[in-house]
Amino acid sequence: MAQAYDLTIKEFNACEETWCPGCGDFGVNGALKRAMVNLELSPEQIVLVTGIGCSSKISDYFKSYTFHTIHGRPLPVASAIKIANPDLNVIVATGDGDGYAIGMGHFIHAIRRNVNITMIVMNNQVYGLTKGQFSPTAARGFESGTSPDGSEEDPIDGPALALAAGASFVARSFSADMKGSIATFEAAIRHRGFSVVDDLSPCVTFNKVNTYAWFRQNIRKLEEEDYEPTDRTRALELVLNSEKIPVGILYQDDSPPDTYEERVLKDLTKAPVWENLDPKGWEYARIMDEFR
Amino acid sequence: MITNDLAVMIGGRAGDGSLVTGEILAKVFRDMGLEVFTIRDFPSNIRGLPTSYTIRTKDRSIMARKDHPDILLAIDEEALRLHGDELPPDGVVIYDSSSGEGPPDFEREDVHVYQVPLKSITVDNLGGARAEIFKNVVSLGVLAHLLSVDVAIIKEAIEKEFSRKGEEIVQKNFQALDLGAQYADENLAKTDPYVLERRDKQDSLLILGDDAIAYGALAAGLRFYAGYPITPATEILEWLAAHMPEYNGVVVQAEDEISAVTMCLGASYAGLRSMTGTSGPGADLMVEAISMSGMAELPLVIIHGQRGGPSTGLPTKVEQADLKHVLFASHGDFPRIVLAPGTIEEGFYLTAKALNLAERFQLPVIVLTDQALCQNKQTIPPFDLSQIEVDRGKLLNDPIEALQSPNGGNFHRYALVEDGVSPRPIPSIPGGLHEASSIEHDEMGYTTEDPELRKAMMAKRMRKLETARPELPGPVLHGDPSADLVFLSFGYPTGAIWEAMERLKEDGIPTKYVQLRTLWPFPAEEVGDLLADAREILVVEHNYSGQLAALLPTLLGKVLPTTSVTRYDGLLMTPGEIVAAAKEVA
Repeated sequence: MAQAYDLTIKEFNACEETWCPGCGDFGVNGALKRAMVNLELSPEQIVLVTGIGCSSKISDYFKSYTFHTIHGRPLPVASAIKIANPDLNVIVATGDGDGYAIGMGHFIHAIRRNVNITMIVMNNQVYGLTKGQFSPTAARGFESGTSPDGSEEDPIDGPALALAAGASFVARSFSADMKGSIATFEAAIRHRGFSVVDDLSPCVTFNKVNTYAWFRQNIRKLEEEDYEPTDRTRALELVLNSEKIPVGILYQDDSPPDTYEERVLKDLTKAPVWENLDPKGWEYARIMDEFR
Repeated sequence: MITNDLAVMIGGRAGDGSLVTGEILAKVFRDMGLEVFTIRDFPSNIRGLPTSYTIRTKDRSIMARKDHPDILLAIDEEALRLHGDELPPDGVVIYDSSSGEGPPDFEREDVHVYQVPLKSITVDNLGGARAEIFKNVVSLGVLAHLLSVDVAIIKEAIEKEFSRKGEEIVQKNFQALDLGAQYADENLAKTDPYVLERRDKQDSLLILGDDAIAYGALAAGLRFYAGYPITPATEILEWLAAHMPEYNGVVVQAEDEISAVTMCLGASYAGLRSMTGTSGPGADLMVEAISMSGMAELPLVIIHGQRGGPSTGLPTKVEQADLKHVLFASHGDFPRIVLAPGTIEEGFYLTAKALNLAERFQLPVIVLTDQALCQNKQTIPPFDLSQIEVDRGKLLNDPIEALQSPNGGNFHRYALVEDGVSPRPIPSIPGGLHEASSIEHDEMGYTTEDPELRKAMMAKRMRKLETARPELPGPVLHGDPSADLVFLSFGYPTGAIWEAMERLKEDGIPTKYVQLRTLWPFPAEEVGDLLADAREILVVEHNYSGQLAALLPTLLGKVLPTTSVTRYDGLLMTPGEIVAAAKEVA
C-alpha cells in the first residue's frame, strides 16, 4: 500500500513542537522524519507508539498513525500492533524514565521476543516533564529535586542491558549529530528484529551536567573507527569499558531474521488484521466434539 | 432407594490422580444420559495437600454444590478425617483397608462403610509400588459395581482419557477397573440406597467454564489474546493457546498483566479483536490500562475470574469480592460495561457479546465471573453457533477505499458525533491518519487542554453508555413473578438459587430470582421494576461485606428491604443454606 507521491520531510510534520528551545528531542524528530523519507516510507505505513514524558510528546509532532499510550507501556502496545499487522513499520519513541524505569520489565521481554520493531530511547538522564528529578540513567551524585545531596543510585546502561538480553540490534546516537542519527535510525528500522537505539538527547533546562558540550567531549564515534558491530561480546566489552561513550551501531546480528511474528503467525503474508471475522466463513462447530 | 441424584466426592491429595478419576467419572455419568456438575476443591499446591473433587449427577440440569456429598471415595485416611462428617445418614464411604485396620477415629454408624484394600489390590496385581497410582481406578471399579454402572461405559471413558498415553496405560487402567469390580462382586454386599439408571443419551457438552468462555470468544472472532497464568483464568489462556493458531490468531503469554492488557490495546488499535483474562491480583495491575481503553476509545475485553481475596487471599477458592473493583477501579470518569454470566452456558454467549459491545462502543468491557464458573464442568446443550454475530461497529478496515481527511490534516478519529461513537480507521488505511491518545485530545487525537473541548470530549465519551444501554443484556426473572420474597444475585449463586427455589416451592414458599447479567451501566429502571413489590430481597453473594447489597441503594436510587446472604470461607454456597436463609425471612 505504498503511496505513489514523492515524500518530503514536510509530509511528516504535524503539530508544532512545544519542547524547550534547544531540547535534544528536536534532533530526534528531525532525524526520524528524514530517515523515513530516505526509507521511502509513507505516513500510513508507519505507527509511532509513545509512552509518557517529554520524549513521548513526539507523537503529536510526527505525522503518521500514532498512539500516545501510558507511562512505561509503549513496548507491549507496539509489539502487539506489529504482530497484528506485520506490514506496518512500528517505532517506539520513549525516554529513559519511560523505557528504563517504569517500563524496564517490558524492555527485557520485548528483546527476548524479538518482534520486528524499533525502540528509540530519548535519553536525557532526567525526568523532564516533572521538572528534573534524577532518572535511572543519571550518574551517581546527580543533584536534583529528589536527590538534593546527589543521587545515591548507580545508573543503568540501556545498550549494555540490551546486549546482555540478546537484542539483535543495539545502537547509540547523539541527537546533535543529525547525520549519524539519521543513518542509525535507518539501519535500525531496516533491521529485521527488535532494534534499540539509545539516543543521547540533552535536556537543556534540567540537566546542567550532561550538556551538548559535555557530550561532545565525552563521546566517540564508531563510524570514525575500525569497528565491526557483529560481535556481541566485543560490543558489550566496548559499552562497559570504554572511557568515552561509544556512539553508532554497537551490534547487529547478521544471522537470518528470526522474529516473533514470523514464529507465531501461521501465514505471514496474510496479516491477521485483514481476516474477515464473519463466523460463517470459519469452521467452529467441530470444536464442540472435544466436549462430547 | 435414591435414584439418579448423587454426589460422589473423591478425596485424595494433589497429584495423586484423583482429579483424572473424577474427570472419568463425570464422563461416565454424562454417557449414561445424566446431567453433571463438578466441583473441584483444590489447594494452591501441586503435590501432597488434600484435595477433593466432587461429581454431582442428576436427571435434571444442575449447577450447584449439593448440601453434602453422598459417597466418599476416601483415597487416603486424611480424606475420611476431613469429609467423613459431611456425609448424610445412609451415606457411603469406600475406604482403603490395605493397612489391615478399619478407618481410624471414624465412629459413625449411620453410614455404609465399604472396606476395600485398594492399595494392596493395585500393588499385588499391577506390578510394584509405582502402580499405586492405579488405585483410584480400582475404586472406580468398586463404585461401578455398587451403583450397577456398566463397566463398558467406564472403559470407553478411560480409553478416551488415556489413549494418548499409549495402549499399555489403557490396558493397565482396564485391569485396575476390573480388579475393583471383581473385588466388590466377591466381597461386598450392597447395603446403601444409591442407584443410577441409564437414560437416553442427549447430545450434550461436558465443558469447563473457562473453555466455554474461550470458545465463545474464538467463535466471535477473537484473534489476539494476551494473558499471564493466574487461577482461575489460566485455562482460558491454555485453551486459546491450543486453538487460536489454527484460526490465524495469536496468543501471547505476557511478562505480566500490565503487558498483557496493553498488548490487547495495541492489537485492538491495529484492528484485531483482542481479549485478556485474569483474576483479582492481575486485574489490580490492569486498572491503568482500563482507563486508557476508556480515554483512547479502544475496544478491550477483560475476563475477570474472581477468587478469594484480599491480596493473594485464597487463590484457588471461590469468591465474588471484586464487584466494587470492576465497577469502579481506575482513575477518571469514563464509560465501561460490566457483564456477569450466571451459568457456564452464559459464559460462552456473553463473552461473544462482550467482543461486539467493546468494538461497537469502543470501550472496556469486563466479563465478571468467578472460580466456581471458571473451573468447574457442567453438562449443557450444544452451543447454537447461529446466535454468534460479529458486529465491528464503526471500524474502518477497508484497505482499498481511501478515506478523505477533512482539511488535509489528520482524520477526525474522535469526531464529536451525536451517539458518541466515532469512526475508527485502523493503521495503514490511506487517509485515516490520526493519533490514538491517553491524553485529552481534539478530534484528530492531538493533545489539548482547551476547557470547552475537554468538556465536549468528556460528554461525547460518556454518551456512549446511553447509546449502548438498550443493547445490554437485561436482568432475567426466574421463578414465580408474583412472589414477594425475591433473590437478587449474579454469577455462581444462580445455580444454587435455582435449586433453593425449587425446594422452597415444595415447602409452599413461592419465590422469584432477579439475575443480573449487566452490572454496569446498572439497569436501575428494569431492576427497580422487578423488585418494586418485594417484601424482602435476599441479596446472595460470595463475599464478606455484602458488596452488592451495600451498593444497591446507590445503584437503584432508592432503599428497599434487603437481607444479605453471604459466604466467604472459600467453599461454594449450597442450595440448603439459601433455603435456610429464605425461611428465616419467609
